[in-house]
Amino acid sequence: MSEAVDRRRALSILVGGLTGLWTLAVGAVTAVFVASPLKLSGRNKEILLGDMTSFGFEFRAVKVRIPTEDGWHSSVRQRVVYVRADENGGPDVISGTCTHLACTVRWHPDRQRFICPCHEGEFAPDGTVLAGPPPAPLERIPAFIDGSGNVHIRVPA
Amino acid sequence: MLATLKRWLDDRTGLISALAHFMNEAVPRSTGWRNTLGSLAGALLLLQILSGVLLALYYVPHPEAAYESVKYIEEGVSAGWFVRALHFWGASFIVIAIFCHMVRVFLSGAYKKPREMTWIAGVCLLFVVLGTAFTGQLLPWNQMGYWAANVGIEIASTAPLIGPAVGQLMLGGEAIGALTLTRFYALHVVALPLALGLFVILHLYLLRRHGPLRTPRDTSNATISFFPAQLARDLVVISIGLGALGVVSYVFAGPDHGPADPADTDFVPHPEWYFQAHYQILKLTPGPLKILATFVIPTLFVALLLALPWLDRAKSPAISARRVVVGGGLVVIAAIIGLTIFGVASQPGAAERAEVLGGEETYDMIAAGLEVYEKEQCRKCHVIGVDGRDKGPDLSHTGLRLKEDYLREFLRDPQKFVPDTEMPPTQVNDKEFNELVAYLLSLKNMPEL
Repeated sequence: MSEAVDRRRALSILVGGLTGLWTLAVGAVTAVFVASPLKLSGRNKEILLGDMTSFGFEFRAVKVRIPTEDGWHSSVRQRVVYVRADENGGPDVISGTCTHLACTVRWHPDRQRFICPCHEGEFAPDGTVLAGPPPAPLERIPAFIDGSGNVHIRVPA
Repeated sequence: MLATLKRWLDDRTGLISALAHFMNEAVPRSTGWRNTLGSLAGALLLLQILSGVLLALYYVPHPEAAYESVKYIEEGVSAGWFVRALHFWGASFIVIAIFCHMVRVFLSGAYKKPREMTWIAGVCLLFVVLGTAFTGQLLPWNQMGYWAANVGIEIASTAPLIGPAVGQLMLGGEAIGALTLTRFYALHVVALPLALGLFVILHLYLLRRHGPLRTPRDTSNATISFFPAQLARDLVVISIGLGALGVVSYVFAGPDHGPADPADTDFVPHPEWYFQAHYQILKLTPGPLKILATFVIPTLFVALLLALPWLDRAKSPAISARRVVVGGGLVVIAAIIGLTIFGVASQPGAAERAEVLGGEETYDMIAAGLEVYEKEQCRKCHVIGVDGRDKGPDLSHTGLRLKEDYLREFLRDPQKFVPDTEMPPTQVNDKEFNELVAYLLSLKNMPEL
């Protein structure tokens, strides 16, 4: 009788062990496969915005085209930044991406502020939060002018 | 003949007697109309699966094809507009049916021992349904879906510790793109429906195991057979629900907000109505407390639903024995309904949208360069893609062939490089010159504009 119990016990351990082993194996491959995007690392890309004379002292929305390797698919990602000339005639570039939940803010010249259409965050021209839920100011993006008079920014891509 | 066939089939499979057993299930005599809402949700889910399979015959999950393929379903496929509308509005109907079902179960106290797990399986179903609705929104690759996914991923990213990783896993790539779309597609059409099926089976199995709750007033032990009385009630309610869905889908087309365009500053996104309550909380929560709205409140809400059978300690399901729990629940229900109505009512209308639309168009250097190209009539001698005349060199791949410095010098003085060229020097102002150069250098594998 004890032989039968031992045999039963050994077989239960075998069944449990094999089931656990296969679950673990399938789970590990699944986890590694699904987690593939985690190894993406952002590099900065230099993006051309336009000739400095295109921008006055009022903010202008500018379409930014960021060449993107989307896995197997090369595409051009788009976003919006706002550009104006600062008092020295240099570029003042501010991100159009709301710091609350990443919607694109809109510049309202009449009210001299950026307003996010999603959750009604409001920002001053220098990016500081004036109203609504955004937790941080709009990002100011470092920009420079090249020899031909073109404005460039560096953005993570 | 038919009887023989039935006997043979039953002998080999047992399915016919199983169906008879299922149909003749004894349910408490007090089972009635209020017990039909779960069946309505189930019927709507079945229809949703069918309309989803039909849409999948044409739908293509790729950013360059998704919007067009949905447009084709709308315009080119017979009854395509109706099937898409059914699938779109079906989501709303399911959410309403589940909400009503849950409120009913809550008021009857039907989650109490021994039915705790039935309730939990139901709560899981609710969130799988909401997840399916969320992932489905991105698939048509239109403006609303794009921004909904954008905000949804940002919300998930705010969770402590694992948030950023979760957000990255949802994105799949650097930004919402081809990899995000196939992820959402796989979740929407394979993984979540499978989970849905499993939870439905579990939910129904547990329902059968414990049976519907006998109301406190029904002190008898009397039962009735599920078939035909209760099944008839189910079918009446299902008919009303499916009929209403049919009418709504016939009258109101599935929405089209234009293709996803992250650079469009004129679009005012808003979530589907069933996410409005949470949307209002997001709006009302000040910045430093953002995590309250994105993580703490939603997590507490899920925890509250899951823990309900243990929070309610009363032995009896009668409302008189559960005044505090029922009162608290009604406050939560009223808050959800109130925030939802407030949110839907305060959505910016067409007039307000037109007002914010005023203002300059987004400046696009490459588009401006194309205008210079047209103005200078470059196309009279050059081909880009299939446009223009091939007198001079094809410019389709300029960005791959030429260096910027060379291009600049050449455009200003072509004769310097090719003495006998017919090409005139480009005489535009510096700004236009820069725009033209940017446009030509943007021409790589495929003309973008």
